[in-house]
Amino acid sequence: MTVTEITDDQRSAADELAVLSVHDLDVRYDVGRGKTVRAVKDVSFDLRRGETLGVVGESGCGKSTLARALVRMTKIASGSIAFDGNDLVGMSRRELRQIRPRLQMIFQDPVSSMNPRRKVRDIVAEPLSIWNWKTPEERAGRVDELLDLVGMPSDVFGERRPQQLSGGQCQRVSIARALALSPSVIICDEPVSALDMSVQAQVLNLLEDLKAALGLTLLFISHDLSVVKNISDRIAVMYLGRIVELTTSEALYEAPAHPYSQGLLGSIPTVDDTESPAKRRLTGELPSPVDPPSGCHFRTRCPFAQDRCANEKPELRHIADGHLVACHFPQHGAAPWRDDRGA
Amino acid sequence: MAAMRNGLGGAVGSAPSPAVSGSRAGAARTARPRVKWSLVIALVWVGLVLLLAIFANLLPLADPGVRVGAARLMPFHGHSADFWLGTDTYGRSVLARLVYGARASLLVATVSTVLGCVVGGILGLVAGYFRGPFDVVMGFLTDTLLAFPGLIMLLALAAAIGPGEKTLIIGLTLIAIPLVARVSRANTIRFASREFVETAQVLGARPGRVLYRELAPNVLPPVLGYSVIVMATLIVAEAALSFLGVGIRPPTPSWGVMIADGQFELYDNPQLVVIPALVLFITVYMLNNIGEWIRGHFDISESKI
Repeated sequence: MTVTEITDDQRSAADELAVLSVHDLDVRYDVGRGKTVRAVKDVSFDLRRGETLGVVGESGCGKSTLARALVRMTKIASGSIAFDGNDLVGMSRRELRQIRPRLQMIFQDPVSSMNPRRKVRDIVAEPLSIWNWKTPEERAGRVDELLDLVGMPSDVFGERRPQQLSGGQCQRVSIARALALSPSVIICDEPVSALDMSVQAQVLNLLEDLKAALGLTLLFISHDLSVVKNISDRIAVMYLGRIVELTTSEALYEAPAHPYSQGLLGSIPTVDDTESPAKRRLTGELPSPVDPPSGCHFRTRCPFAQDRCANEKPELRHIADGHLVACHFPQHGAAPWRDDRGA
Repeated sequence: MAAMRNGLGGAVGSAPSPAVSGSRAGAARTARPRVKWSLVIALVWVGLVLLLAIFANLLPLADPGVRVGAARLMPFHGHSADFWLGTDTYGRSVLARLVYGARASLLVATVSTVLGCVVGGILGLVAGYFRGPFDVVMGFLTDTLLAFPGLIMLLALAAAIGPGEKTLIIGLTLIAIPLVARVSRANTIRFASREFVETAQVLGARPGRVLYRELAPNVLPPVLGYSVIVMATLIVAEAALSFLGVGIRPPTPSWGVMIADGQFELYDNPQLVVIPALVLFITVYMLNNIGEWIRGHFDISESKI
């Protein structure tokens, strides 16, 4: 195995592809009594043009905070977010507003993300009207187009209000609204977590089709690995505010190197559960983010933890081409549960 | 765009017939429970009082300031409508005074409520949305105003700038503003953390637009409902001040003035106090009823949960 540090050359090569490039992002929350939570710490990654980057992790690992930070909806303590070459962190309110149309977000709660007093048609027209896009007639035409695009024909749904729609329908309208300004990047914060399984699949298919048709770049956040698996090109695994593993979808499923990723994958329920007794599941509780363990945050739940893990924070490093892991003792070989199944 | 739409046919076609589920949900919402009679009665009563107050001088009523018959007449002693409720100690028609009194009482209360609602509503919206130092100052001021005994403030105000309708309106508006601002602020905060407000911000909406398009329509119903209740409070406050002689000045009739005028006859002619007090009580009660209904009925989010 060869462990390579990220060289400057590699970084600049990645930058050319990256539409959104995050470096050492830090987000802190004040939780009272002088204590702060570092909800996102030292997070660095590139979102490449045209890809879907999945972000997974347990509740409270900072993935939603990361999403909100990327659209500057929460205060950023330090770090940089380069979007199309401009640093979002240093931007003034006015500059930021000019960027907004190109960087959109879809929220988790489909019902709550729509003003209950407005009609579907007006909700989708809102971004156009905020930006004074063309004439009202042309806007109406664009709204019809957008609603058709997400499978919600405006003659059927245009006059409805959000509370007259199902969760899946609401999320389709949310997608139409996010597409209205033809963004280049859409941050999806658990867009299907509140939906039924069958509806989840429909919305995911819709997102994939739209992504292919419109050349979108997606950052897709979910706590559900099985959801992220199919839609993502690359996946970042987060634990207590840090990215612990970042690699392609296939590599993560075939050969997860971080013990936490292995545990997450092992936690996906399967039908023949009894046949893999050695399947690595996560044990223990998520430590308090206010007072995370020293060194490697995962060491308290890690079966491979040693003294070094308590003393030294593992940096995110390459263990293979395009496979980044933050672990002192990365695991290799095929996924452990697959071995068991063969036995 | 057309080609793209075709390309997405698969995803679009796989949706379950959404029209069916949608219309079912719509039907469930529109099916209202039985008529709420307490509300109908409240609306009829308040409507009637308002109409009488507005069109008082078109009605065949005596001048409320002029003697029409023998003093201290019990009800139904005369032959015209002027005597239906009797006459007061000066021989003036109680019915005429009640109707014209409604005009004065309601005018003062309505103007103060509307002013308080507009000013308090906007202050609450701005404080609740922007928070920060403005909210802190606003909170301090509203708490101060609310903690200060209203009646004493009004008495002081009357002493400072002299009693009269203008003083009443200023004083009552000052009472209404912090009450409405609190409700407005609380509701703004409740909705400001909703994702649709954040979505508008991510879309690039300026704060003014977020306040006007996203927050105001949602904050308005509870604020309106509450302001009807505030109005009821202000009617009582007006009556109290007029009773004490620092509100509407006799001979202009108001409900408070009528109660004040009748207080010395409480044993011999209790109707002089009881009639305006009863009308006052019923009106206030009905307004409370309507306010509560508005709050409950238009609160979509609450009925959803």
